[in-house]
Amino acid sequence: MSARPDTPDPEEQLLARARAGDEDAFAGLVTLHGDQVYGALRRFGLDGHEAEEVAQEVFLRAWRGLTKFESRARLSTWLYRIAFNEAQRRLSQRPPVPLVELPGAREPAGSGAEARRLSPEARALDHEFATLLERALGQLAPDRRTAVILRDIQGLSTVAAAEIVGVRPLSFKSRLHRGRMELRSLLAPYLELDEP
Amino acid sequence: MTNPLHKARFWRDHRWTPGHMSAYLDDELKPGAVARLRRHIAECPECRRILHELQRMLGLLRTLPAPATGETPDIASAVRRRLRERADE
Repeated sequence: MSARPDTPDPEEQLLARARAGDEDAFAGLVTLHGDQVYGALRRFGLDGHEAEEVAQEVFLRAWRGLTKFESRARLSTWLYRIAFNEAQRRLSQRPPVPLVELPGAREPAGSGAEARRLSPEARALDHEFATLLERALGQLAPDRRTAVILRDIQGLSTVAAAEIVGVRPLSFKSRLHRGRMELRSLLAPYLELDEP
Repeated sequence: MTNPLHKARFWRDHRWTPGHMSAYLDDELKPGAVARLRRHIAECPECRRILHELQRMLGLLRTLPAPATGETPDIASAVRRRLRERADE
């Protein structure tokens, strides 16, 4: 049975109630978006404790700013923007992290060779490969890493992602392209395919 | 590849193609550019490999589980508690 065209979106219903001061409705919105915001904060480079703390702060700020939030914008984009700014603020206070070479990146052998025998799709489920991907992401320059996270992992549009980081879409695309190419180079031994 | 014009075009496209792969994968290239990239990919194993690796990588990124799966904190409960604490102050 399809939804009636005039049936409001559940998120919009929660948003309307939250704007009227309903904390339970707001908690519903936090439940809808909490994991995504927390996951993005971890990938931006915060540790688990920081990400949890910042995620709470993101939603508390969102609660205070709900009346100013324009419902034409997507709630998730707005939340990511708050999260991104706070993560940037925290990360800018840290000393730079030295680069760490990925295990087997130069000479894929042992588990690397095993990984190459698996199809990439099968490897998607492989925890070890997911860890390698995360580590490779961590080696990208922050602006490139953010572009890949927002566009390719969180699945935002180019326009929304560019808005979150505060750059023009063209500039964002350039960062995204460079980030993708760099990540591909880092992961090349694990992505190789036999020529058909 | 003995024709000098063909050879010149090949190397021109070889320099141009990698810089346009990302836009190609996002369906953001104009039809003429799509045709140029596809023509080059068809005759260049190196660029074909890079494009395939990028495609595979993007597929994997989309299936990447959230960091620390199973340990995601209960943000909603914490936010609700903090809102109540502020209201009581």
